Amino acid sequence: MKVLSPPRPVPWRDTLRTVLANGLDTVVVPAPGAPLAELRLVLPYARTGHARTQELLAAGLGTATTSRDRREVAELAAGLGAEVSTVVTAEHLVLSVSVLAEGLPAALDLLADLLLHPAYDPPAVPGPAAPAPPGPRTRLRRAQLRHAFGGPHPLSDDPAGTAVPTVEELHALHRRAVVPHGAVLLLMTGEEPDRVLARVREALADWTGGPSGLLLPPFPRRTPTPGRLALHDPAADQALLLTAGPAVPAPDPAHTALHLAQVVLGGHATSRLTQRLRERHGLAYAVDARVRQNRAGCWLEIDCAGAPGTGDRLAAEVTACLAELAATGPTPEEARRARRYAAGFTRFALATRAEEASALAGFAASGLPLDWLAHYPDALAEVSDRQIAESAAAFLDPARALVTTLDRTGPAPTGRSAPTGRSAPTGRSAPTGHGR
Amino acid sequence: MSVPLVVEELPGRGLVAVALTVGAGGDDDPPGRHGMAHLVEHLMFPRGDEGDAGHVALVEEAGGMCNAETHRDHTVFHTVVPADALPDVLAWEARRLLRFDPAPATVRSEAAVIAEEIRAADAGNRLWDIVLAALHPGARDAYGTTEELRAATAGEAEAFFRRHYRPGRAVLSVVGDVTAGRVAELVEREFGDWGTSGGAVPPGRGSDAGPPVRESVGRSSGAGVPVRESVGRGSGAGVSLPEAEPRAVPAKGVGAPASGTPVPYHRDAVAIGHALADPRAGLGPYLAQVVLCEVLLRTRLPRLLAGTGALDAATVRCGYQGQWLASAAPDLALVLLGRAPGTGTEEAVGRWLDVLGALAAAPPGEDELRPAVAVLRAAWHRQADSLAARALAHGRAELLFPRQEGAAPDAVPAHLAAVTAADVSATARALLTTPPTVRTLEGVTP
Repeated sequence: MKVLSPPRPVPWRDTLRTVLANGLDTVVVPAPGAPLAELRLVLPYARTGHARTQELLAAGLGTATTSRDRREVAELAAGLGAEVSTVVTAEHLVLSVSVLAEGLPAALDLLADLLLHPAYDPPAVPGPAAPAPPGPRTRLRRAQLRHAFGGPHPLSDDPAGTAVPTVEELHALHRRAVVPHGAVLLLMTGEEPDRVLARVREALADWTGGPSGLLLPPFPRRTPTPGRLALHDPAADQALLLTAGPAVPAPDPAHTALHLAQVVLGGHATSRLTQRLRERHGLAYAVDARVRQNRAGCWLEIDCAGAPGTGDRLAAEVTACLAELAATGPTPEEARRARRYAAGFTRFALATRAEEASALAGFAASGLPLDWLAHYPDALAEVSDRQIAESAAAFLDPARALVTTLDRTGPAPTGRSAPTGRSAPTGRSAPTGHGR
Repeated sequence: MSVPLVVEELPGRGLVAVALTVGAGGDDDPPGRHGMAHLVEHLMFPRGDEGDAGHVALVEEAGGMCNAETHRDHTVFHTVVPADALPDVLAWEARRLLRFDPAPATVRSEAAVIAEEIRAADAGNRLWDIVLAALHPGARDAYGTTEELRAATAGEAEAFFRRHYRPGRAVLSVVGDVTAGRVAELVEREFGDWGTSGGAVPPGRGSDAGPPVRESVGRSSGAGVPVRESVGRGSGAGVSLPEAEPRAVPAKGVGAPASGTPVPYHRDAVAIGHALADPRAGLGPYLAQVVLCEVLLRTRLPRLLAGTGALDAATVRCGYQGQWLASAAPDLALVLLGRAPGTGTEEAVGRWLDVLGALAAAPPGEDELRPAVAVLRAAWHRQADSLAARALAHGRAELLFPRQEGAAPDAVPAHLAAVTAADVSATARALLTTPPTVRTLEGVTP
């Protein structure tokens, strides 16, 4: 047997978190001996009335500055072994840098240049092709959220502001959105945290401004309006289903039991939905369940796709599955498997340093304690079977959920945008009390 | 003998990765059964029946994920689970080895699944296979041939398994939140019977429990595709995909070293294959090739494009399907040049050889070498951040490169950093000593 036990060069120290003078919430996570430094800058970036400008800014941020064109930025990054990327989520713009550890100081200088002196290519005239009309999944998603939680809301409205912006408009948005106040910067590196913090202070001293106010607003309603909504799309090549049920967000203690009830319901090979819809009835190509959570709200969602024409059948089976689990709770064996599965799933979110950096930066930006996930497996182990059953009874009751489908059959859409029950021509589409 | 074991204690993440690397792959497919290694890999994921969960379900329920890859010269099964599930995982791992007994119906359905994989993967892989086969006559991918697999029987799968899946031709690597002593104990408990039971072993190559590195004399230089399965949640270990999408292919193996029949492609281009040095003969020269390709890709090819209208695209990738140090089978660097209207194959190849010749004549500058090495080091570290990728790298280092200390996951970046400009230049000269394989690619309208 060959054994390798790499020495740990520095004893582990606590995470350092502080708000800099410019308002930047800065987190330094020690990773002794890590060959790479990971950096995540999380900026509030909820959709505004300038969707196209936001899209183009996200594509251009991190690629060029007034003194370095794209090629020069790419060359500088390559010399440091750095990768710079951006990701846009429902509420954030995340700028990520992964760099060879010794390149961190130079990467911070590059970051400062990218933030302080950005250069955006003039959007081509007449501009890149307009964004494609939303696909069936997006239309269903918007209709689901609109019905469940009311509107107007950035997550359920069709995006406004699709005209191609000018370079000036891109710079104006940069000045508004790419600001330290309200943002989170997380660094994970083997370097001594105080030294890292000093480097950040120095590199980003001139970066000021904010907050941008680009926070995702809460939905008008906190709990979903239950019912049944069926959208019709003659071109649909799949039947799609989405539900929105009540839920409680992490790190609320009640979330843990709900999470386990959700795992029993759906998400893996032996969960109830998979067994019933896929294995027993061969109805669904894919079926999943999860608790969704962001600044807008928190809801339990089932996501399912099947053959065209099966939308009503999917809705009926999903509703029956919910009702069954809510009525009787999980078997002891199901509860045991759910605890194991959920604990493993939790660990996978922190499986690599890069994933851990992204997860922790997300927690910091969402107001979650940084260590909540690390302690979560313990919390999962403490939930009793009875607590899972109680949570299922409270949150999985189909009478409290909105069940939405999009299929070939059903009422026809009336407009280009997401059809809603309100505009649909037949009574079938209006939310109707369901299950009771 | 018991299976060789590598353990890396890596506390802190609460996870453990287990990789079983078997020294048999597509090169070992019996005549007329191209894809048998791939089929056996599939059959190593027993499905559940009444009262007995399948392998994937067991791993998932333990909060883990599992996957497998069939390469030309090895097959690897990897699993990542919460560390407290290690005893279970080792038991399941041993169970699927000790109870390998596929039903004829399962063999048929898995052959059908593979046929679908072959169909889906074909477009992206053809160019690599054409050039590799031309460079190393007789070489084939590890996916298989649908017609040959359709005739495969459970008995043949079992014979393949018994011949090749043996402790002397395998390595078990375990990485994560574990202690080596405990792992050794569990492995002894679960794998103690492997190789000592299970019936007669057919005589022949591979049953001798010899060192896993395969002799290259008298063997076909079987080419292979690293076949990634999508079982469970998938894993971060592995690979990149080629961007090339040829549309149709002449019969495999027709490639003469020269241009031969033009290959239909989505545009006019030329594919050039250079044989790579064997990593087992020395890691230094092998890694110098990797750095050379990165220098070419980063600076020399963009410069070539900027300086001529004859070519309008140029890439080079090191290692079959862009993977390096992932196999010890005969390998290649693949150059793809887009021919501008009016540019012939000969002219395009000439320009490429000029670029390579310039590096052979004069080493690259530090300003070229440094970024190339930094990018490669960082990419390797990113991959080695994953426990599964580390377990894979340990298994390969032990099984495929046993005499190359530097092949372990943490050793490779230092070896890359040690590559000098002179090494790169020497590698360019070495590549020029053997004529490359050239295939003309001809644009077809869709």
